[in-house]
Amino acid sequence: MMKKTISFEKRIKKIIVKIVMFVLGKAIQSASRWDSIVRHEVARWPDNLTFALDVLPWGPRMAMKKQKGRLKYLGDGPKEVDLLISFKNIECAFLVFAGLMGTEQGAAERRTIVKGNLAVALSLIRIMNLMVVYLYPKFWSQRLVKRVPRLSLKQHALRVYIILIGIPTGI
Amino acid sequence: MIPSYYEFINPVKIVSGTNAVDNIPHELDQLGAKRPMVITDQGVVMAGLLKYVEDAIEDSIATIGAVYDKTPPDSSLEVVREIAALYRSRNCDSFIAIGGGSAMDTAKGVNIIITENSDDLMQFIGADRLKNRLQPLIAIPTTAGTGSEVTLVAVVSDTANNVKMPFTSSHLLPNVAIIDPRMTLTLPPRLTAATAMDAMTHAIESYYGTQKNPMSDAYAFAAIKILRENIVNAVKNGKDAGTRLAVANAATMAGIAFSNSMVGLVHSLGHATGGICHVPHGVAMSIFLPFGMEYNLEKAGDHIGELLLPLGGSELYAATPKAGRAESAIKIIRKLQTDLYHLCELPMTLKDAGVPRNKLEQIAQATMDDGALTYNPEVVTQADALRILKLAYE
Repeated sequence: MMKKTISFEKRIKKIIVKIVMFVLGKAIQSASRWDSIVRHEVARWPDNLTFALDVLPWGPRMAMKKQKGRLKYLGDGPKEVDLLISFKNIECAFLVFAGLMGTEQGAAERRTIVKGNLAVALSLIRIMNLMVVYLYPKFWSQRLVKRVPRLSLKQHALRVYIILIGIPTGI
Repeated sequence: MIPSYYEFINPVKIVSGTNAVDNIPHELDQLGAKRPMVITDQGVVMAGLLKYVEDAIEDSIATIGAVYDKTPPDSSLEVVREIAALYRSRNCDSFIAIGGGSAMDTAKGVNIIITENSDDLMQFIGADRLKNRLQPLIAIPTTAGTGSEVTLVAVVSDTANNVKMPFTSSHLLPNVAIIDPRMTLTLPPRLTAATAMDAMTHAIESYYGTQKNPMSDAYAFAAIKILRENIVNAVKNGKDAGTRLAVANAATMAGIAFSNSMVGLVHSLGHATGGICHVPHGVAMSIFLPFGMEYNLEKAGDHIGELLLPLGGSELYAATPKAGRAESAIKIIRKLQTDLYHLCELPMTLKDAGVPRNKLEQIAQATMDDGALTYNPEVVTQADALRILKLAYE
Protein backbone atom coordinates (compact mmCIF):
# COMPACT_ATOMS: atom_id res chain seq x y z
CA MET A 1 0.00 0.00 0.00
CA MET A 2 1.31 3.46 -0.90
CA LYS A 3 1.95 5.80 1.97
CA LYS A 4 -0.37 8.77 2.03
CA THR A 5 0.84 12.34 2.24
CA ILE A 6 0.67 13.46 5.85
CA SER A 7 0.42 16.91 7.34
CA PHE A 8 3.42 18.97 8.42
CA GLU A 9 2.22 18.79 12.02
CA LYS A 10 2.15 15.00 12.02
CA ARG A 11 5.58 14.87 10.41
CA ILE A 12 7.00 17.09 13.16
CA LYS A 13 5.38 14.91 15.79
CA LYS A 14 6.90 11.80 14.20
CA ILE A 15 10.33 13.40 14.26
CA ILE A 16 9.94 14.35 17.92
CA VAL A 17 8.75 10.84 18.83
CA LYS A 18 11.70 9.33 16.94
CA ILE A 19 14.16 11.57 18.79
CA VAL A 20 12.63 10.72 22.17
CA MET A 21 12.73 7.03 21.26
CA PHE A 22 16.45 7.37 20.60
CA VAL A 23 17.00 9.15 23.92
CA LEU A 24 14.87 6.61 25.78
CA GLY A 25 16.59 3.65 24.10
CA LYS A 26 20.06 4.90 24.93
CA ALA A 27 19.03 5.80 28.49
CA ILE A 28 17.60 2.30 29.05
CA GLN A 29 20.72 0.75 27.51
CA SER A 30 22.93 2.68 29.91
CA ALA A 31 20.67 2.08 32.91
CA SER A 32 20.62 -1.67 32.25
CA ARG A 33 24.38 -1.58 32.84
CA TRP A 34 24.51 0.58 35.95
CA ASP A 35 21.11 0.74 37.66
CA SER A 36 20.36 -2.09 40.13
CA ILE A 37 16.58 -1.75 39.74
CA VAL A 38 16.76 -2.04 35.95
CA ARG A 39 19.28 -4.88 36.19
CA HIS A 40 16.95 -6.71 38.58
CA GLU A 41 14.01 -6.29 36.19
CA VAL A 42 15.97 -7.38 33.11
CA ALA A 43 17.49 -10.38 34.92
CA ARG A 44 14.08 -12.08 34.89
CA TRP A 45 13.60 -11.64 31.12
CA PRO A 46 14.46 -14.51 28.76
CA ASP A 47 17.95 -14.25 27.21
CA ASN A 48 18.10 -12.67 23.74
CA LEU A 49 14.57 -11.30 24.10
CA THR A 50 13.82 -8.51 21.65
CA PHE A 51 11.18 -5.87 22.12
CA ALA A 52 10.00 -2.87 20.14
CA LEU A 53 7.86 0.19 20.66
CA ASP A 54 6.23 1.39 17.50
CA VAL A 55 3.54 3.68 16.18
CA LEU A 56 0.86 2.31 13.87
CA PRO A 57 0.79 2.03 10.95
CA TRP A 58 4.22 3.16 9.70
CA GLY A 59 6.34 4.08 12.69
CA PRO A 60 8.49 5.54 14.05
CA ARG A 61 9.86 2.60 15.95
CA MET A 62 12.57 1.62 18.41
CA ALA A 63 13.80 -1.87 19.28
CA MET A 64 16.04 -3.32 21.97
CA LYS A 65 17.53 -6.71 22.73
CA LYS A 66 18.67 -8.40 25.91
CA GLN A 67 22.30 -9.44 25.43
CA LYS A 68 24.52 -10.78 28.19
CA GLY A 69 22.12 -9.56 30.86
CA ARG A 70 21.93 -6.00 29.48
CA LEU A 71 19.75 -4.20 26.98
CA LYS A 72 21.06 -2.97 23.67
CA TYR A 73 19.36 -0.29 21.59
CA LEU A 74 18.88 -1.49 18.00
CA GLY A 75 17.35 1.56 16.30
CA ASP A 76 14.38 0.34 14.25
CA GLY A 77 15.55 -3.25 14.85
CA PRO A 78 14.16 -6.43 13.27
CA LYS A 79 10.57 -6.62 12.05
CA GLU A 80 9.77 -9.66 14.17
CA VAL A 81 10.28 -9.18 17.90
CA ASP A 82 9.27 -11.13 21.00
CA LEU A 83 7.37 -8.23 22.56
CA LEU A 84 5.74 -5.43 20.63
CA ILE A 85 4.01 -2.44 22.18
CA SER A 86 2.24 -0.47 19.48
CA PHE A 87 0.67 2.97 19.84
CA LYS A 88 -2.58 3.13 17.90
CA ASN A 89 -1.64 6.39 16.17
CA ILE A 90 0.96 9.15 16.24
CA GLU A 91 -1.23 11.42 18.38
CA CYS A 92 -1.30 8.78 21.16
CA ALA A 93 2.44 8.21 20.87
CA PHE A 94 3.18 11.94 20.91
CA LEU A 95 1.28 12.37 24.20
CA VAL A 96 3.46 9.75 25.86
CA PHE A 97 6.82 10.48 24.23
CA ALA A 98 6.48 14.24 24.59
CA GLY A 99 5.93 13.75 28.33
CA LEU A 100 2.31 14.87 28.29
CA MET A 101 0.95 11.53 29.51
CA GLY A 102 2.40 8.65 31.54
CA THR A 103 2.94 5.23 29.99
CA GLU A 104 0.52 3.58 32.38
CA GLN A 105 -2.14 6.20 31.71
CA GLY A 106 -1.64 5.54 27.99
CA ALA A 107 -2.20 1.84 28.62
CA ALA A 108 -5.22 2.57 30.85
CA GLU A 109 -6.76 4.63 28.05
CA ARG A 110 -6.16 1.76 25.63
CA ARG A 111 -3.89 3.82 23.45
CA THR A 112 -1.49 0.89 23.11
CA ILE A 113 -1.66 -2.71 21.93
CA VAL A 114 0.63 -5.33 23.47
CA LYS A 115 1.73 -8.44 21.60
CA GLY A 116 3.83 -10.93 23.52
CA ASN A 117 4.78 -11.67 27.11
CA LEU A 118 2.67 -9.45 29.38
CA ALA A 119 4.94 -9.96 32.39
CA VAL A 120 7.87 -8.55 30.41
CA ALA A 121 5.67 -5.71 29.17
CA LEU A 122 4.85 -4.77 32.78
CA SER A 123 8.52 -4.96 33.71
CA LEU A 124 9.35 -2.72 30.73
CA ILE A 125 6.74 -0.20 31.83
CA ARG A 126 8.35 -0.12 35.28
CA ILE A 127 11.73 0.57 33.64
CA MET A 128 10.21 3.30 31.46
CA ASN A 129 8.67 4.89 34.54
CA LEU A 130 12.08 4.95 36.21
CA MET A 131 13.53 6.61 33.11
CA VAL A 132 10.79 9.24 33.34
CA VAL A 133 11.91 9.92 36.92
CA TYR A 134 15.55 10.16 35.80
CA LEU A 135 14.98 12.28 32.69
CA TYR A 136 12.34 14.76 33.87
CA PRO A 137 12.42 17.14 36.84
CA LYS A 138 10.27 16.01 39.76
CA PHE A 139 7.58 18.66 39.26
CA TRP A 140 6.95 17.16 35.82
CA SER A 141 7.60 13.46 36.42
CA GLN A 142 5.05 13.37 39.25
CA ARG A 143 2.41 14.08 36.62
CA LEU A 144 3.53 11.07 34.59
CA VAL A 145 4.06 8.30 37.13
CA LYS A 146 1.85 7.13 39.98
CA ARG A 147 4.51 7.66 42.63
CA VAL A 148 7.91 9.36 42.30
CA PRO A 149 10.34 7.25 44.33
CA ARG A 150 12.77 8.97 46.70
CA LEU A 151 16.11 8.74 44.90
CA SER A 152 19.25 7.80 46.81
CA LEU A 153 22.46 9.82 46.43
CA LYS A 154 23.78 7.08 44.15
CA GLN A 155 20.67 7.28 41.98
CA HIS A 156 21.03 11.06 41.72
CA ALA A 157 24.61 10.56 40.50
CA LEU A 158 23.46 7.86 38.11
CA ARG A 159 20.78 10.16 36.79
CA VAL A 160 23.38 12.80 35.93
CA TYR A 161 25.60 10.13 34.39
CA ILE A 162 22.80 8.79 32.18
CA ILE A 163 21.90 12.27 30.93
CA LEU A 164 25.47 13.41 30.28
CA ILE A 165 27.19 10.20 29.21
CA GLY A 166 24.71 7.33 28.96
CA ILE A 167 22.42 8.89 26.35
CA PRO A 168 25.16 10.20 24.01
CA THR A 169 27.28 7.05 24.21
CA GLY A 170 24.92 4.29 25.38
CA ILE A 171 27.57 3.22 27.90
CA MET B 1 -15.10 13.88 36.26
CA ILE B 2 -15.24 12.67 32.66
CA PRO B 3 -11.93 11.14 31.54
CA SER B 4 -10.19 12.91 28.68
CA TYR B 5 -10.46 9.70 26.68
CA TYR B 6 -11.98 6.26 27.13
CA GLU B 7 -13.36 3.32 25.18
CA PHE B 8 -16.43 1.25 26.02
CA ILE B 9 -17.92 -1.75 24.28
CA ASN B 10 -20.82 -4.04 25.14
CA PRO B 11 -22.57 -5.59 22.14
CA VAL B 12 -23.71 -8.70 24.07
CA LYS B 13 -27.43 -9.38 23.91
CA ILE B 14 -28.65 -10.05 27.45
CA VAL B 15 -31.56 -12.46 27.78
CA SER B 16 -32.56 -12.49 31.43
CA GLY B 17 -35.43 -13.97 33.40
CA THR B 18 -37.55 -16.96 34.20
CA ASN B 19 -36.91 -19.85 31.77
CA ALA B 20 -34.66 -17.65 29.64
CA VAL B 21 -32.76 -20.77 28.54
CA ASP B 22 -35.82 -21.78 26.50
CA ASN B 23 -34.96 -18.95 24.07
CA ILE B 24 -31.74 -20.64 22.94
CA PRO B 25 -33.21 -22.01 19.67
CA HIS B 26 -34.37 -18.53 18.67
CA GLU B 27 -30.98 -17.03 19.51
CA LEU B 28 -29.18 -19.76 17.55
CA ASP B 29 -31.46 -19.06 14.60
CA GLN B 30 -30.69 -15.35 14.80
CA LEU B 31 -27.00 -16.18 14.74
CA GLY B 32 -27.37 -18.53 11.77
CA ALA B 33 -26.18 -21.49 13.84
CA LYS B 34 -27.64 -25.00 13.67
CA ARG B 35 -25.09 -27.30 15.26
CA PRO B 36 -23.74 -25.89 18.52
CA MET B 37 -21.11 -27.54 20.66
CA VAL B 38 -21.87 -27.43 24.38
CA ILE B 39 -18.90 -26.82 26.66
CA THR B 40 -19.56 -27.37 30.34
CA ASP B 41 -18.30 -29.19 33.43
CA GLN B 42 -19.25 -32.11 35.63
CA GLY B 43 -20.75 -29.85 38.31
CA VAL B 44 -23.28 -28.54 35.80
CA VAL B 45 -24.12 -32.04 34.58
CA MET B 46 -24.52 -33.43 38.12
CA ALA B 47 -26.80 -30.54 39.07
CA GLY B 48 -29.03 -31.38 36.11
CA LEU B 49 -28.53 -27.99 34.46
CA LEU B 50 -27.42 -29.38 31.10
CA LYS B 51 -30.86 -30.95 30.81
CA TYR B 52 -32.53 -27.50 30.67
CA VAL B 53 -30.45 -26.66 27.59
CA GLU B 54 -30.98 -30.05 25.96
CA ASP B 55 -34.73 -29.77 26.54
CA ALA B 56 -34.77 -26.28 25.02
CA ILE B 57 -32.96 -27.40 21.87
CA GLU B 58 -34.90 -30.67 21.53
CA ASP B 59 -37.88 -29.02 19.87
CA SER B 60 -36.03 -26.90 17.30
CA ILE B 61 -34.23 -27.14 13.99
CA ALA B 62 -30.87 -26.94 15.79
CA THR B 63 -29.04 -30.06 16.98
CA ILE B 64 -26.35 -30.29 19.63
CA GLY B 65 -23.27 -31.34 17.64
CA ALA B 66 -21.13 -32.33 20.61
CA VAL B 67 -20.98 -32.02 24.38
CA TYR B 68 -17.72 -31.57 26.25
CA ASP B 69 -18.53 -31.86 29.96
CA LYS B 70 -15.13 -32.29 31.58
CA THR B 71 -13.89 -28.70 31.70
CA PRO B 72 -11.57 -28.45 34.74
CA PRO B 73 -11.72 -25.52 37.21
CA ASP B 74 -8.55 -24.09 35.67
CA SER B 75 -8.73 -24.72 31.97
CA SER B 76 -5.48 -25.38 30.13
CA LEU B 77 -3.97 -25.29 26.65
CA GLU B 78 -4.30 -29.08 26.42
CA VAL B 79 -8.02 -28.98 27.24
CA VAL B 80 -8.57 -26.24 24.65
CA ARG B 81 -6.82 -28.31 21.98
CA GLU B 82 -8.78 -31.46 22.91
CA ILE B 83 -12.11 -29.64 22.63
CA ALA B 84 -11.14 -28.01 19.34
CA ALA B 85 -10.42 -31.45 17.86
CA LEU B 86 -13.86 -32.65 18.96
CA TYR B 87 -15.50 -29.51 17.50
CA ARG B 88 -13.85 -30.09 14.13
CA SER B 89 -14.61 -33.82 14.03
CA ARG B 90 -18.31 -33.21 14.73
CA ASN B 91 -18.67 -30.32 12.26
CA CYS B 92 -20.06 -27.93 14.85
CA ASP B 93 -20.80 -24.33 13.88
CA SER B 94 -21.20 -22.51 17.21
CA PHE B 95 -20.70 -22.75 20.97
CA ILE B 96 -22.93 -22.85 24.01
CA ALA B 97 -20.86 -22.43 27.17
CA ILE B 98 -22.61 -23.43 30.41
CA GLY B 99 -20.81 -22.92 33.69
CA GLY B 100 -18.55 -20.57 35.55
CA GLY B 101 -15.58 -18.64 34.25
CA SER B 102 -13.66 -21.75 33.30
CA ALA B 103 -16.29 -23.18 30.93
CA MET B 104 -16.89 -19.80 29.31
CA ASP B 105 -13.21 -18.92 29.02
CA THR B 106 -12.47 -22.38 27.64
CA ALA B 107 -15.13 -21.86 24.98
CA LYS B 108 -13.54 -18.53 24.09
CA GLY B 109 -10.11 -20.16 23.87
CA VAL B 110 -11.42 -22.96 21.63
CA ASN B 111 -13.25 -20.38 19.53
CA ILE B 112 -9.96 -18.57 18.91
CA ILE B 113 -8.10 -21.55 17.53
CA ILE B 114 -11.12 -22.80 15.56
CA THR B 115 -11.59 -19.41 13.90
CA GLU B 116 -7.89 -18.85 13.32
CA ASN B 117 -7.50 -22.47 12.15
CA SER B 118 -4.56 -23.03 14.47
CA ASP B 119 -3.63 -25.38 17.29
CA ASP B 120 -1.42 -22.93 19.12
CA LEU B 121 -3.44 -20.68 21.40
CA MET B 122 -0.23 -19.04 22.70
CA GLN B 123 0.12 -17.26 19.35
CA PHE B 124 -2.81 -15.07 20.35
CA ILE B 125 -1.88 -14.16 23.92
CA GLY B 126 -2.18 -10.48 24.73
CA ALA B 127 -4.52 -7.73 23.66
CA ASP B 128 -6.29 -7.06 20.35
CA ARG B 129 -4.55 -9.85 18.43
CA LEU B 130 -7.67 -11.30 16.85
CA LYS B 131 -8.72 -9.86 13.52
CA ASN B 132 -11.52 -12.24 12.53
CA ARG B 133 -15.09 -12.49 13.74
CA LEU B 134 -15.35 -15.61 15.89
CA GLN B 135 -17.94 -18.41 15.70
CA PRO B 136 -21.23 -17.62 17.48
CA LEU B 137 -21.05 -18.07 21.25
CA ILE B 138 -23.95 -18.21 23.69
CA ALA B 139 -22.86 -17.99 27.32
CA ILE B 140 -24.97 -19.26 30.20
CA PRO B 141 -23.45 -18.46 33.59
CA THR B 142 -24.14 -20.85 36.45
CA THR B 143 -22.09 -19.16 39.16
CA ALA B 144 -23.15 -15.48 39.14
CA GLY B 145 -19.73 -14.02 39.67
CA THR B 146 -17.18 -14.22 36.90
CA GLY B 147 -19.04 -11.98 34.44
CA SER B 148 -17.29 -13.83 31.62
CA GLU B 149 -20.59 -13.91 29.72
CA VAL B 150 -20.09 -10.21 28.94
CA THR B 151 -16.32 -9.75 29.06
CA LEU B 152 -13.78 -9.50 26.28
CA VAL B 153 -11.29 -11.51 28.32
CA ALA B 154 -10.45 -15.20 28.40
CA VAL B 155 -8.04 -16.63 30.95
CA VAL B 156 -6.49 -20.02 30.24
CA SER B 157 -3.86 -21.62 32.48
CA ASP B 158 -0.38 -22.53 31.37
CA THR B 159 -0.19 -25.51 33.73
CA ALA B 160 3.49 -26.12 32.98
CA ASN B 161 4.48 -22.70 34.33
CA ASN B 162 1.67 -22.19 36.89
CA VAL B 163 0.54 -18.94 35.30
CA LYS B 164 -2.79 -17.76 33.98
CA MET B 165 -2.63 -16.37 30.47
CA PRO B 166 -4.97 -13.56 29.49
CA PHE B 167 -6.41 -13.06 26.02
CA THR B 168 -8.31 -9.85 25.38
CA SER B 169 -10.16 -8.82 22.25
CA SER B 170 -13.58 -7.39 21.53
CA HIS B 171 -14.08 -10.45 19.29
CA LEU B 172 -14.12 -12.57 22.47
CA LEU B 173 -17.37 -11.01 23.65
CA PRO B 174 -20.11 -13.65 23.46
CA ASN B 175 -23.05 -12.91 21.16
CA VAL B 176 -25.67 -13.71 23.76
CA ALA B 177 -25.66 -14.02 27.56
CA ILE B 178 -28.54 -15.99 29.00
CA ILE B 179 -29.32 -15.35 32.65
CA ASP B 180 -31.80 -17.87 33.94
CA PRO B 181 -32.33 -18.16 37.71
CA ARG B 182 -32.70 -21.93 37.40
CA MET B 183 -29.03 -22.12 36.48
CA THR B 184 -27.83 -20.79 39.85
CA LEU B 185 -30.47 -22.27 42.19
CA THR B 186 -28.33 -25.27 43.07
CA LEU B 187 -25.12 -23.37 43.76
CA PRO B 188 -23.98 -24.27 47.32
CA PRO B 189 -23.88 -21.46 49.91
CA ARG B 190 -20.10 -21.06 50.10
CA LEU B 191 -19.72 -21.03 46.34
CA THR B 192 -22.60 -18.56 46.13
CA ALA B 193 -20.80 -16.28 48.58
CA ALA B 194 -17.41 -16.59 46.87
CA THR B 195 -18.70 -15.92 43.36
CA ALA B 196 -20.85 -13.02 44.54
CA MET B 197 -17.82 -11.49 46.24
CA ASP B 198 -15.96 -11.93 42.95
CA ALA B 199 -18.70 -9.88 41.28
CA MET B 200 -18.55 -7.32 44.10
CA THR B 201 -14.79 -7.02 43.56
CA HIS B 202 -15.26 -6.55 39.81
CA ALA B 203 -17.69 -3.72 40.44
CA ILE B 204 -15.68 -2.01 43.18
CA GLU B 205 -12.28 -2.24 41.48
CA SER B 206 -13.72 -1.07 38.18
CA TYR B 207 -15.26 1.92 39.97
CA TYR B 208 -11.99 3.24 41.36
CA GLY B 209 -9.50 1.97 38.74
CA THR B 210 -7.53 4.22 36.40
CA GLN B 211 -9.62 3.21 33.39
CA LYS B 212 -12.98 4.03 35.00
CA ASN B 213 -15.40 5.93 32.80
CA PRO B 214 -19.01 7.12 33.04
CA MET B 215 -20.40 4.04 31.31
CA SER B 216 -18.54 1.51 33.45
CA ASP B 217 -19.33 3.59 36.56
CA ALA B 218 -23.05 3.29 35.89
CA TYR B 219 -22.89 -0.49 35.63
CA ALA B 220 -20.56 -0.83 38.62
CA PHE B 221 -22.62 1.42 40.88
CA ALA B 222 -25.87 -0.38 40.12
CA ALA B 223 -24.22 -3.79 40.48
CA ILE B 224 -22.84 -2.95 43.94
CA LYS B 225 -26.26 -1.86 45.17
CA ILE B 226 -27.96 -5.05 43.96
CA LEU B 227 -25.20 -7.23 45.35
CA ARG B 228 -25.23 -5.53 48.75
CA GLU B 229 -29.00 -6.02 48.97
CA ASN B 230 -28.97 -9.66 47.88
CA ILE B 231 -25.73 -11.47 48.70
CA VAL B 232 -26.65 -12.53 52.22
CA ASN B 233 -30.11 -13.68 51.22
CA ALA B 234 -28.73 -15.62 48.25
CA VAL B 235 -26.47 -17.50 50.67
CA LYS B 236 -29.23 -18.01 53.26
CA ASN B 237 -32.08 -18.82 50.89
CA GLY B 238 -30.50 -20.34 47.83
CA LYS B 239 -33.84 -21.48 46.42
CA ASP B 240 -35.20 -17.94 46.20
CA ALA B 241 -35.28 -17.50 42.41
CA GLY B 242 -35.84 -13.73 42.64
CA THR B 243 -32.72 -13.24 44.73
CA ARG B 244 -30.72 -15.54 42.46
CA LEU B 245 -31.83 -13.58 39.41
CA ALA B 246 -30.85 -10.32 41.10
CA VAL B 247 -27.34 -11.55 41.99
CA ALA B 248 -26.86 -13.03 38.51
CA ASN B 249 -27.89 -9.73 36.91
CA ALA B 250 -25.54 -7.81 39.19
CA ALA B 251 -22.69 -10.17 38.30
CA THR B 252 -23.35 -9.54 34.62
CA MET B 253 -23.44 -5.77 35.18
CA ALA B 254 -20.19 -5.96 37.14
CA GLY B 255 -18.75 -7.95 34.24
CA ILE B 256 -19.67 -5.23 31.78
CA ALA B 257 -18.10 -2.66 34.10
CA PHE B 258 -14.77 -4.39 34.56
CA SER B 259 -14.55 -5.58 30.98
CA ASN B 260 -14.38 -1.91 30.07
CA SER B 261 -12.47 -0.40 32.97
CA MET B 262 -10.41 -3.37 34.08
CA VAL B 263 -9.55 -4.31 37.65
CA GLY B 264 -6.54 -3.71 39.88
CA LEU B 265 -4.42 -4.86 42.79
CA VAL B 266 -7.06 -7.14 44.36
CA HIS B 267 -7.20 -9.17 41.16
CA SER B 268 -3.43 -9.20 40.73
CA LEU B 269 -3.03 -10.64 44.23
CA GLY B 270 -5.88 -13.07 43.58
CA HIS B 271 -4.51 -14.26 40.23
CA ALA B 272 -1.09 -14.85 41.80
CA THR B 273 -2.52 -16.64 44.84
CA GLY B 274 -4.76 -18.74 42.61
CA GLY B 275 -1.92 -19.61 40.24
CA ILE B 276 0.45 -20.71 43.00
CA CYS B 277 -1.77 -22.05 45.77
CA HIS B 278 -4.95 -22.83 43.81
CA VAL B 279 -7.12 -20.72 46.09
CA PRO B 280 -10.52 -20.33 44.36
CA HIS B 281 -10.73 -16.94 42.68
CA GLY B 282 -13.84 -15.76 44.54
CA VAL B 283 -12.33 -16.70 47.91
CA ALA B 284 -9.17 -14.76 47.10
CA MET B 285 -11.22 -11.76 45.99
CA SER B 286 -13.19 -11.76 49.22
CA ILE B 287 -10.01 -11.91 51.32
CA PHE B 288 -8.10 -9.20 49.43
CA LEU B 289 -10.91 -6.73 48.64
CA PRO B 290 -10.79 -4.61 51.85
CA PHE B 291 -6.98 -4.55 51.74
CA GLY B 292 -7.02 -3.39 48.13
CA MET B 293 -9.49 -0.63 48.95
CA GLU B 294 -7.37 0.50 51.93
CA TYR B 295 -4.20 0.47 49.86
CA ASN B 296 -5.77 2.84 47.32
CA LEU B 297 -7.29 5.26 49.82
CA GLU B 298 -4.83 8.05 49.12
CA LYS B 299 -5.19 7.99 45.34
CA ALA B 300 -8.82 6.90 45.02
CA GLY B 301 -10.37 7.73 48.40
CA ASP B 302 -13.01 10.01 46.88
CA HIS B 303 -14.22 7.31 44.51
CA ILE B 304 -14.21 4.66 47.23
CA GLY B 305 -16.13 7.10 49.44
CA GLU B 306 -18.83 7.43 46.76
CA LEU B 307 -19.40 3.69 47.06
CA LEU B 308 -20.80 4.17 50.54
CA LEU B 309 -24.09 5.11 48.86
CA PRO B 310 -24.73 1.75 47.15
CA LEU B 311 -23.02 -0.16 49.96
CA GLY B 312 -24.58 1.52 52.98
CA GLY B 313 -27.71 3.21 51.66
CA SER B 314 -28.71 6.85 51.43
CA GLU B 315 -29.21 7.48 55.15
CA LEU B 316 -25.77 6.28 56.18
CA TYR B 317 -24.21 8.09 53.22
CA ALA B 318 -25.90 11.37 54.15
CA ALA B 319 -24.98 11.00 57.82
CA THR B 320 -21.30 10.32 57.13
CA PRO B 321 -18.95 13.27 56.53
CA LYS B 322 -17.20 13.12 53.18
CA ALA B 323 -13.82 12.49 54.79
CA GLY B 324 -15.08 9.34 56.51
CA ARG B 325 -17.05 7.76 53.69
CA ALA B 326 -14.27 5.66 52.19
CA GLU B 327 -13.39 4.13 55.58
CA SER B 328 -17.08 3.44 56.21
CA ALA B 329 -17.37 1.72 52.82
CA ILE B 330 -14.42 -0.52 53.73
CA LYS B 331 -16.00 -1.28 57.12
CA ILE B 332 -19.15 -2.47 55.34
CA ILE B 333 -17.11 -4.82 53.17
CA ARG B 334 -15.38 -6.20 56.29
CA LYS B 335 -18.75 -6.65 57.98
CA LEU B 336 -20.00 -8.48 54.88
CA GLN B 337 -16.93 -10.73 55.04
CA THR B 338 -17.70 -11.56 58.67
CA ASP B 339 -21.36 -12.23 57.92
CA LEU B 340 -20.43 -14.59 55.08
CA TYR B 341 -17.91 -16.35 57.30
CA HIS B 342 -20.59 -17.00 59.92
CA LEU B 343 -23.11 -18.09 57.30
CA CYS B 344 -20.97 -20.43 55.22
CA GLU B 345 -17.38 -20.26 56.50
CA LEU B 346 -16.13 -18.30 53.53
CA PRO B 347 -12.43 -17.89 54.44
CA MET B 348 -11.44 -14.44 55.72
CA THR B 349 -7.67 -15.01 55.76
CA LEU B 350 -5.10 -16.64 53.53
CA LYS B 351 -4.32 -19.06 56.36
CA ASP B 352 -7.96 -20.18 56.44
CA ALA B 353 -7.81 -20.58 52.67
CA GLY B 354 -4.92 -23.02 53.03
CA VAL B 355 -2.08 -20.82 51.79
CA PRO B 356 1.28 -21.85 53.30
CA ARG B 357 3.10 -18.85 54.82
CA ASN B 358 6.29 -19.76 52.97
CA LYS B 359 4.55 -19.09 49.64
CA LEU B 360 3.92 -15.40 50.31
CA GLU B 361 7.21 -14.22 48.76
CA GLN B 362 6.50 -16.20 45.61
CA ILE B 363 2.96 -14.83 45.43
CA ALA B 364 4.27 -11.27 45.84
CA GLN B 365 6.66 -11.78 42.94
CA ALA B 366 3.95 -13.28 40.72
CA THR B 367 1.68 -10.33 41.58
CA MET B 368 4.16 -8.00 39.91
CA ASP B 369 3.71 -9.89 36.63
CA ASP B 370 -0.07 -9.47 36.54
CA GLY B 371 -1.44 -7.03 34.00
CA ALA B 372 -4.21 -5.71 36.27
CA LEU B 373 -1.59 -3.79 38.28
CA THR B 374 -1.37 -1.32 35.39
CA TYR B 375 -4.90 -0.17 36.16
CA ASN B 376 -4.50 0.15 39.92
CA PRO B 377 -4.56 3.80 41.02
CA GLU B 378 -1.63 3.45 43.42
CA VAL B 379 1.73 2.07 42.31
CA VAL B 380 2.52 -1.35 43.77
CA THR B 381 6.00 -2.66 44.48
CA GLN B 382 6.86 -6.22 45.38
CA ALA B 383 7.46 -5.08 48.96
CA ASP B 384 3.99 -3.49 49.04
CA ALA B 385 2.41 -6.70 47.73
CA LEU B 386 4.24 -8.77 50.34
CA ARG B 387 3.12 -6.43 53.12
CA ILE B 388 -0.54 -6.81 52.08
CA LEU B 389 -0.17 -10.58 51.83
CA LYS B 390 1.19 -10.69 55.39
CA LEU B 391 -1.69 -8.54 56.60
CA ALA B 392 -4.18 -10.82 54.86
CA TYR B 393 -2.52 -13.98 56.16
CA GLU B 394 -4.19 -14.19 59.58
